[in-house]
Amino acid sequence: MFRRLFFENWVSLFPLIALITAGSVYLTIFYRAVRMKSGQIDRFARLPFESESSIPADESK
Amino acid sequence: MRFVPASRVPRLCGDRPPRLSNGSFFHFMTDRKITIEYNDKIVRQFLLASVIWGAVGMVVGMLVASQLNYWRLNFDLPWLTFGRLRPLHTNAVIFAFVGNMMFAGVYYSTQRLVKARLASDFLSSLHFWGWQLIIVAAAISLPLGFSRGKEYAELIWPINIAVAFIWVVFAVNFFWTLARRHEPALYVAVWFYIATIITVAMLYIVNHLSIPTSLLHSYPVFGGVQDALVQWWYGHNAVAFFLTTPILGIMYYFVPKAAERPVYSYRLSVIHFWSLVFVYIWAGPHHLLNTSLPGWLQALGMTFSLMLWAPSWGGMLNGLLTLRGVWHKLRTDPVLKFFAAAVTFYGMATFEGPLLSIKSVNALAHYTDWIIGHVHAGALGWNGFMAAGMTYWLLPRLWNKPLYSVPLANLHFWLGTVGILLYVAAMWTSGITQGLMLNATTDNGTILAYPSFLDTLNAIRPMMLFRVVGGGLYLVGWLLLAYNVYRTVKGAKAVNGTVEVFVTERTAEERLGIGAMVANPPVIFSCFGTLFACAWMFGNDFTKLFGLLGTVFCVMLAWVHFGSRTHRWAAWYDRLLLNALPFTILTFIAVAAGGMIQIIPTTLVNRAENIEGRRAIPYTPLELAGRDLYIAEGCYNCHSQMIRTLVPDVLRYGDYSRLGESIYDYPFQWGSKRTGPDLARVGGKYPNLWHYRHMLNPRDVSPGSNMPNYPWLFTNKTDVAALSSKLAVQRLLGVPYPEYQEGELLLLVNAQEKAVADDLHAAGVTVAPDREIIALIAYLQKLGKHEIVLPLNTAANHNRPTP
Repeated sequence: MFRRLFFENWVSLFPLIALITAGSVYLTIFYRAVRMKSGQIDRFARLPFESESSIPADESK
Repeated sequence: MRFVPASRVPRLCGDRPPRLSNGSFFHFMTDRKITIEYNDKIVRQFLLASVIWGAVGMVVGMLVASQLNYWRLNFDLPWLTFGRLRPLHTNAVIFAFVGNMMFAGVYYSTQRLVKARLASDFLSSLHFWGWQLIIVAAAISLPLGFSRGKEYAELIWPINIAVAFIWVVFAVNFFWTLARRHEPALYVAVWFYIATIITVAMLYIVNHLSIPTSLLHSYPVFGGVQDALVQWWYGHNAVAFFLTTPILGIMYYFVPKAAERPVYSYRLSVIHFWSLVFVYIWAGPHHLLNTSLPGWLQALGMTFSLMLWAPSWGGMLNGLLTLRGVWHKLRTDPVLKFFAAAVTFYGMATFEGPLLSIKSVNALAHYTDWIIGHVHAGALGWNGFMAAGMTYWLLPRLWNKPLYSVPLANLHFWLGTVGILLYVAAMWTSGITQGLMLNATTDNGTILAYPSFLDTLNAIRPMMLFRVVGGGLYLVGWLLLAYNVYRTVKGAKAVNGTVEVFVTERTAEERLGIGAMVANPPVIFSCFGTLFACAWMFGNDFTKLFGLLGTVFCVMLAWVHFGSRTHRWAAWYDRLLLNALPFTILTFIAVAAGGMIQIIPTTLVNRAENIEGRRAIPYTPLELAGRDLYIAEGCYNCHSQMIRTLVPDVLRYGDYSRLGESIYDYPFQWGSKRTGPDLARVGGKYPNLWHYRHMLNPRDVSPGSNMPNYPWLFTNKTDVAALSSKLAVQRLLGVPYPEYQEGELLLLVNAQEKAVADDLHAAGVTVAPDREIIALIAYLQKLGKHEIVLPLNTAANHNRPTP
């Protein structure tokens, strides 16, 4: 039964299942991302912009 | 220690601390301010290694591309033949060039994003030197013919263990650093790094599961169709999670830095990440379209590949639009030039990939140079240009000295761009030309228009030459970068970045333990929904109905709960973004789901005992020795063993390949490129003498061939002593070999060797029976031989071998 199920009967359904599965993930994440607060978004987006200085490296370390 | 309102928190990066959805603005902070010195030495080391190995990988690429045009460049030397050097080229570019570049970018950006020095200098050094040692071991073992025979997974098992170990070192160092971070939030680049680390570990370990037969040889635990599926689950996702996700993380850090403005849309980056890591992993079967892979897997692979268009282009547009307002800088700034072109090539390659995954397009493009062009648009355009941009941006910052020559960097950009365009255009033209010629028929589709494979090969020779020219330009550009690096670094004093931070401790509200991660509405509803959906899809009549009702009930309940308790769902997600471990576990579940659903049923169902119809006859011991020679010489780099379910394939090579015909192949040898014809049914097609002459000098029997000569096969002796342990492992894997008595194995091998040698002698050539060429001929003559297994309910297994 297991073998026939995969080879024959359900082949046409798999693209649909794939679409629904991936679509659900897209929509869920899209909703979540849109609902994120703008303050939170701004802060995350600015994380790479820290001010840093540099000192000579001790390469022997 | 005191509790400080956020409004009084010093603005470490010019903004306020993360706000939880319940409105909390508070951090537990101390008065202690510390200065962190980043470990930039390791960044410098990986960066320089990337420049050097990049040049090496590209030089080898130039050589193998030239060998396709001029067969004499194989020099009749075993360690310089195309079949052995092509894996060296691919491994060098992927693991040595991009690998080192990725580690440099990850280590530089992660330290700054989490405001913490790398956790362990020792682990960092171990990571660097261990990785270089692995590269050197690969550079020695591959030309010597030590190979597992699986693309991008050729390295032998001791090196595999070393790779896994060093990857764990990388993971420990990375996650330990996250645990010591002073910035609670995880920037999206760090998400991509997390996904890379756990997914590559999973892919690499599963695809490299092997049973050793000796110190330098092993057989994979998967065979035939199982091996094909696992290999391309790995192969495709090596592109996804080694060449794409870490570089996307690097893009999300370095492009905003170079453009001096935040990423265009952080929201889009969130969607980009989750949809990409979830969808990418399912698409592996698109490498096996129209083959004997079960149809449902091909359908899944194609559909998920098409859906990759959305996240890929979302990410590409996000990267490009980050340059809004600074486009004018592209005229003068080579860093932005490289980044803009790299992201554009990412967009091109990720448009082309799904296109090539459509079955009908794949029927034309697969096994041709079109795929090679596609891969190089990604490798040279996306990876190579991101590496160049990152290198030019980092150099002045790591050595505190301006770049030696901006004009040289600009020249590099234009040489590289023209080189890529020449390369890719040549490969598109070549691939489509050969694909059309191979598939062309006359007389209402009953006769091949170009029955000689060599006609199709020689038609694309000019394009193959253009490829060398394009690759050459790209290489010259890279050498200019190397020179620029050398002149910049020469006499410069290396510097390490430093930053001052307040010591913070996260509040209990921000922390999310494993229990709290699981015991939350989103996770609980997702788990139950998936379980019910599985019961609905895979169960019998009652279970199916139960599953359907359960799924509907679960979705409705989740919807109602979400409506009434929205803040609980949102709070869980917000806390997830501040907690690396739960985030990592959920990411792992997202990437593991696709592989499990595809691989587990295949490994359970597609086994030799379940095969109906054609089933392979196990190789004799001598044929097995010949097969191992075929693998060692890298014949799979040019020859497939898979006749697709397409009319032109059947007309050219014979009846299409059945799943059972390679069920005992450890590893499978379906191949991915046809520089030469398919060999699935070559057994018995030509006499032994033809193969003898063909291996000695292919042009004797196939004028115009570009295949190397293999003179050493006529002098080297077959390694019969190794067969005993090889057969024992094959037996362990399920191949029905009998237990041979003392001396029986040798007698069996000698008898078959003598039969082949006698046949050759009768045809006019004399060769000692114990030479490798005899074993290889025995193997080639076996290809396509099978037995017929009747369905279980039709007969009590009246198995009969084919003539």
